[in-house]
Amino acid sequence: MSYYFTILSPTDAPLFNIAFGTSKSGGDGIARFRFPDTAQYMNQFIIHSSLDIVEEAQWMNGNLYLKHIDTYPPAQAYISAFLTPSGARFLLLHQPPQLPSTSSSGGNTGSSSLLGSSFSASALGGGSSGRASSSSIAANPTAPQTEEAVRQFMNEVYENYVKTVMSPFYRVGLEIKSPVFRARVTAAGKKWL
Amino acid sequence: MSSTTKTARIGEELWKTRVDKVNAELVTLTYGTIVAQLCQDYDGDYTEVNKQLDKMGYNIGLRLIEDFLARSNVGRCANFRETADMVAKVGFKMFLNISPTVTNWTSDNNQFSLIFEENPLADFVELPDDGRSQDELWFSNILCGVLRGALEMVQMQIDAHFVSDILRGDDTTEMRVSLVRYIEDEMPPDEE
Amino acid sequence: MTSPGDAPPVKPPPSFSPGVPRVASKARYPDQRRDSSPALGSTSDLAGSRINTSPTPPLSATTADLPIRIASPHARSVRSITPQLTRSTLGSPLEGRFEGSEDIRSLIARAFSPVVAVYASADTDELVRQKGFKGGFWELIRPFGEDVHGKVVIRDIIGAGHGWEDYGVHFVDLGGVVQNRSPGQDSSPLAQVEEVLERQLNSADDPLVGSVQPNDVLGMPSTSSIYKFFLRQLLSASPVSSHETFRHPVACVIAISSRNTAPLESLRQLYADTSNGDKKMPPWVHSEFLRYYVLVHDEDRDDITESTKLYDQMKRHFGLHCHLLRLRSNQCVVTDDDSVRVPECEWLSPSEHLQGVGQTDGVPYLFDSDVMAIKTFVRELVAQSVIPFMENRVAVWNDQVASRRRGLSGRFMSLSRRWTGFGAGSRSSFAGSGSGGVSGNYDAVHGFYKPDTPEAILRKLADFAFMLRDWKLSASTYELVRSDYGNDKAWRYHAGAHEMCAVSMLLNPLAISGKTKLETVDQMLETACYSYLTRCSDATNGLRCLTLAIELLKSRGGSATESATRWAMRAMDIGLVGSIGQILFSERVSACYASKVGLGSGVWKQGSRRRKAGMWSVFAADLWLKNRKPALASASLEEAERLYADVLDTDGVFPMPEMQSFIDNLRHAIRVQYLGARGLDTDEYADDSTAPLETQATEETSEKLDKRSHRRSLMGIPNSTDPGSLNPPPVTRENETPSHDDFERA
Repeated sequence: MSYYFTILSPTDAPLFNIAFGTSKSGGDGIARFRFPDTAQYMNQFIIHSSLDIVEEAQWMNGNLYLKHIDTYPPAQAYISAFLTPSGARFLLLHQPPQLPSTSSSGGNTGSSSLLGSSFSASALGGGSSGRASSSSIAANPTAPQTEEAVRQFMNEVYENYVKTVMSPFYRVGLEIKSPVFRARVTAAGKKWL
Repeated sequence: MSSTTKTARIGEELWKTRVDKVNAELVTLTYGTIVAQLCQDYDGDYTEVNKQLDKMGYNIGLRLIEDFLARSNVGRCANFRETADMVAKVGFKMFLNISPTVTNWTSDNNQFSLIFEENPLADFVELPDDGRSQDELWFSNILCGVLRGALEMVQMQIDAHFVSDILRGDDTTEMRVSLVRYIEDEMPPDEE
Repeated sequence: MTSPGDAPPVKPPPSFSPGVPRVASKARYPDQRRDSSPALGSTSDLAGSRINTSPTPPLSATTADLPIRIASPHARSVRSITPQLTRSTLGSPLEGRFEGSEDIRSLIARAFSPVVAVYASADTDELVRQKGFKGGFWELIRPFGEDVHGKVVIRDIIGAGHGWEDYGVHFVDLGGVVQNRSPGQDSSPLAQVEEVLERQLNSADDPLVGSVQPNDVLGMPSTSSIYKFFLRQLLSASPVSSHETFRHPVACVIAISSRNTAPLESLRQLYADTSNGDKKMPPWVHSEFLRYYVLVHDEDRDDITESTKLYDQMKRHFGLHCHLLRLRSNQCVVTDDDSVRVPECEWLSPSEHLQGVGQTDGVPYLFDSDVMAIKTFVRELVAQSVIPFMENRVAVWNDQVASRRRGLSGRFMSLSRRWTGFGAGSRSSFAGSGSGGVSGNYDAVHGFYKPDTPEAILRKLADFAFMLRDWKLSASTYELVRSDYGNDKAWRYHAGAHEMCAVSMLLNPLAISGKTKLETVDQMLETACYSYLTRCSDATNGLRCLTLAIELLKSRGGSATESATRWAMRAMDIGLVGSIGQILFSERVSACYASKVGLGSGVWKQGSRRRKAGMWSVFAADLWLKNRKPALASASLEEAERLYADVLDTDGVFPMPEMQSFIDNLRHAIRVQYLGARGLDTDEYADDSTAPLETQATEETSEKLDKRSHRRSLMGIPNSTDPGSLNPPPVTRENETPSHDDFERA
């Protein structure tokens, strides 16, 4: 599972970005997205587009954690969201690892890489076949365990976020450059995801 | 030793009964904003910022001592060691609800260190990551000025400066305080 | 300190409250947008005539490089006025949002028009050939069938009449139906569709003219004509098949001319051919279709009194389904006073397109009188014969077959079909219905039901109802039989019934409200797709099913549009569409999202999908560019900017740096490719616009020398004008670079 975590200001300005991979079940914590490395803008496009859903969902319930709110099927990218009361948005894009079979086919048909290649044949057949590791938390983005793990992650990041924005040297609305915060987010990622 | 605990008790008592409380975050943010603003105003010249903070503290100290004496009703200190105790256990307790440790006395009893286990002024603070602030800025430098100003009003000319700060990545936050001289009555306090 | 637990519920984020400073993005990327204003003049014609809508002088340095000025703050304020003005001055029909979706619904309904076979005697074809129609009588009347003149009134099963302005029939050559497929069919229909699209795009490469007019600026969910073209192609791509009867002839026009020496014998012979001669239908086509007899009278050479006499004779012999069609046999040319251009055939199949059927070399002209005569004939044929015939068949079959199944005993019987040995006696009306839920009517070897089995009749009833646009009846009938097909493992039938049941429900303007119904529809579509694709490997029908689903769900609006996008992505993902199809579908996803309007207004608008719509338009632009269609790419990008305008900050800058740089690079590459394709001297533009890009890149990197390494890697790319900076897969980049270098050197 690969993660791309973004904090957006209420005006959609990105305050913080980090990409990391799972550390659970033997993961090495390195993100491996399905897009080529040069196409990381895809993560931003997907996250940005999910704001449509966030804006709708934030009125539906009073929770800070909105759970999994959006999916970008062509790349099997799942978005979970967390709202701070002040209107900052925490968005976590998670993407299950690409199966060997699809990755090879994706490599051959380079033209479709923009849209990502996801469903593979198994999606039609119910999607059960290829996910060998579907029992682990990280491999199934919509499982309750995953929701819980993401919630814990979000809460921990939120606590640290509050501390960080209290720093007098942080200007509200600007990018969070604090290495301490980055380290703490990384740690939270390791701990929960 | 017993006098030290007695002093501490006085501090506790004062904190509980005689002091109006104010929200810590408000103080923290207010002070932090002042420092950040100074850094901006002096364009990142941290030496100058330190100086300004010290000056502001000095001016606070000149007034604060009156308040301190009026509320605490403590008598004159017999020696500099007692003064140090009073500062740490009553003064800091009253105004910041902390009691830094007094330690590292020199043999002539004229220099000591205050070790700050906690520092409400620096809560949440992360110094700007411009590569210089870690080496140049003393974020809480206002405390040095306060101490200097307050003690000057009770006839002690001292020098106070930080030697380490957790914010800079050090293990402790330590302020070094040295007695320069006792001021005779004929000398009015000089404005800096 | 607020902890997550005790936070107050649902606070409106400050972005929605006035007075919150919105400075962030502006302050961060101040220099980013000043590339290449020199190219402005030439980019403006990228967008064709409608660029006139934007104010003439560049609005500001930050937006001057946009081929699309709409995103600029000033344009935003005038946007609501200007384009509309321009539209009216251009005289283009202002189609409202609702009509936009009706348009597609109408197109879909017309795709499933009744098929009328045409079988003309040799002398008739000869006469028509003289008029310049090489294909004979069929070719002559074909375009007129697609749009029956005037309103056609159809009665539904309960007798209520509905008038349809857009009704039509498909005339087909009887021989074509019989042989099932024209000889040119060597590739799969889908490949043909893709090929036709490719040709169409290339032939209409000049974006300023031609039939390929990209998305309209204003008309929100408007459909690009190339997409409509694709839709028509796809809907006419499926070959005649046993599992659905839409392409089985409902009627057959048998035509002789006044030149015929033995008219009645000829007619008998022609009739005999259609019944059991060499023009006999395949065994799975119901043989009971309407015969309609036409006498073509040669106005220029023959005597009308003779023909009238013969016509009376015909009426006596064959009944009411006769027509006397008076045509001139002389060829009409443009210069003739009363010449009328023959309308183009809208519903040519992909293979016909590839054979060049559409491109008649000259002479698509007829005398006004001929046109009137043909129109009258078609109208009479459809309104007085074909439709009453179909209404009648629907009533009869519904009464004899369907209502028995619908009634209590029918349900009982269908139950008993599933559990053997129960109610066996009452099953007599279903010939040979076997045990274990299998009716035994299905010929598994040849893969069809005989036309007189209840399963086939029910399907035909449903199809007739569908073609008569009684979608309520068709939906309920499909629903009635769909499980039977499953029991018989007649998978293509099974898929088709599910497909059409869903489509009927979606077409029915009244039905479906609430989520459960939508889920039912989604479920049926899922089943249909699975049967088509996995069980039958029928990609053509699979794609047709998905495309119908997308369009009809989209036309439903609301949450159905979300479904529509899901199906569209699915179609793309399983590779049903080719490279052009991918782009069209991307645009379609964008259109679906764009059509989902939010509640409320202004910044309080909730539930819109502008960002998603914008994103998919950007992807489409990127794909167009990769397919070397810069004009279309530009149009898509423009659409994207328009969609994004609502959600972006007032300066039209994306908050996220990598998105912004991607868009900037895309815009630049489109411009370069466009100029290159037009053979313009691109040197200066390329140079001028590259330079700022490079400086921008270095500025950016030096400014952000922090941990955002992934960003630097992206920003580092645009050091050449290589469209590879758009990050296409390496393969494409290699392909594109040489050609690019070419015009750089030129």
